[in-house]
Amino acid sequence: MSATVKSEEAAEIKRCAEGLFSRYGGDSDPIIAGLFMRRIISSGEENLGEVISQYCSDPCHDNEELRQIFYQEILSLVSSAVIPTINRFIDDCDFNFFDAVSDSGSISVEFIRERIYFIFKETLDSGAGEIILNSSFNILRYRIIDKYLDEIFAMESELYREIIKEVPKSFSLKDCKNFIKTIFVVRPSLYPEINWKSTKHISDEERRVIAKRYESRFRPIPCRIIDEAVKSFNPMNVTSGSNAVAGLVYIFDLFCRVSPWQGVPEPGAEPPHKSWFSLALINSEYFGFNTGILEELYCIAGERNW
Amino acid sequence: MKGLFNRKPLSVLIFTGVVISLIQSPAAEAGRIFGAGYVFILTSALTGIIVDIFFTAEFIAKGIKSGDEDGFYRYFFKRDGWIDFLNSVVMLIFVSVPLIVITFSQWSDGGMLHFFLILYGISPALRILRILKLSSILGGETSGMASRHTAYIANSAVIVLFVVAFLTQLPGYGNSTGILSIYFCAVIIVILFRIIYRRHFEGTVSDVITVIDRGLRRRNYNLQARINDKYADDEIYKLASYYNSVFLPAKMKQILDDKRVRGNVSSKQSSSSE
Repeated sequence: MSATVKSEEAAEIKRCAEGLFSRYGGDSDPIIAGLFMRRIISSGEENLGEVISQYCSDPCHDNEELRQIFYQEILSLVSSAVIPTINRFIDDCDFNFFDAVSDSGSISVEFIRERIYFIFKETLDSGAGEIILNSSFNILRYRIIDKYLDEIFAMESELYREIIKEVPKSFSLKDCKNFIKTIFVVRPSLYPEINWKSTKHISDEERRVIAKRYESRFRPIPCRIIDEAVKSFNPMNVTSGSNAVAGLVYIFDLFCRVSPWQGVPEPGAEPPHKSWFSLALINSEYFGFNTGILEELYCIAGERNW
Repeated sequence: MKGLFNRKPLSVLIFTGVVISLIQSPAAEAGRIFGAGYVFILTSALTGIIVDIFFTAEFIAKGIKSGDEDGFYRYFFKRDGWIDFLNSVVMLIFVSVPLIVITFSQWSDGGMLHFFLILYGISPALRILRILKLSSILGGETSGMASRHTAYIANSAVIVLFVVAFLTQLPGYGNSTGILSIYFCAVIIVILFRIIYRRHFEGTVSDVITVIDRGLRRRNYNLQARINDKYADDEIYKLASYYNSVFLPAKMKQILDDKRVRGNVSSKQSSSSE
């Protein structure tokens, strides 16, 4: 079983990985497809040789080397599908808001970009952020924050006032968008910590401890961003104090865990975003959504026919 | 009608043929009633026979093609083959050929001319059946519920009007101009049912069912059915309301609670392969 995998076999395995990736929906949901495929390998429950043989002309033998080649190929496929979207955000963002939420002085934008890229890439490669990565990716891919924050700020609604109260006064609309998007990029890296606790609610004290610990690890990411990211894992009906930003992130996270329906508007159906927010309102107690925020998002989606 | 001209060139040609036949039929009838000149009658007769030969060729081609697909029987009885037949072979034999023969009557002997005059006597009523072709074209290529139901109603109405027109031609009943009125009534009925009522039917019945069906079958489909408040008491909207407020929320919980989505799978799995 430990026969060395030849170069032709390796090429065949790569082709199979591409075929399987596409079959599991990698073109539309690369992260989910990648996670699913990695689990096949990691669990050891499936005979990889058999799985591959279904898609290959030549039979393969399951061995560690085969698994490693397969695993690396999946990583490469997922990265090539996901990283361009993340890079687009990182390259377009000026990170001016860092000065307002951090007291560590002026930091080179290039350094910030490198760090944020590294944090996301590390999480993506390890698979530790699991499905949370998918929502962060979808949020950036479908420009959810841009679309909704533009509307929220234009309406100057209750949610707008809550957000303005929470963020520094110097924040512009663009800063608010970048602030929330950065929370989404950092968030998956914190997930193993939250998941490890296996609790539905993280207390304020625990949150501060986690934020402090990750502040040094994620430097120069400001503690405030990490704090908001940790807070956003808490269902909002058990969170005390001001939580408009975290509440919004919490809702958008679940909204984008599974890719929002991207089909063309269908006769006889409500628009996809409006439908989701309507269902979320019905389930708001179950998931711990902030109903005030949800109602506003529902109205925006309804008015804009999203 | 939308997208009609986006179809294949052959479909556009058929549509053009239908339009010509729909204009030619009342024109020929009006020419007969009001005593139009020879050139008008000749033009009308030639146009009619060309269109009918074209439709006959279309019917034969479709019939042969259906033999290779799902059978001639299915084409004839389930997919408007009978309408194609009425509008091709029947029209050719009972309307166009007699008109051509009568127009060129100097080449026919008296006995044959009399035979064709009898055949031509029923042509005004038969021309109403041309509107079935319009109905078939307006139905498009979809075989959905709305299309089938509106076809059933519109075609039934046209056949009833054909029977009425046929009876008015019997000696002692009605007059010739009545046929023209019936012809235009049939056109209006077909347009009303196949376009306006069909849209209403789709909006209030079949589209709602399609949305519910997709929601029940597809895991990732979570669009709510749009409920028309005016008809909220309709059975279909009661079902849609249940689907929106009970089924989809439960489905949302199930999907987001799925361990793959919720992310509660032990990280050991991912770390073991690193």
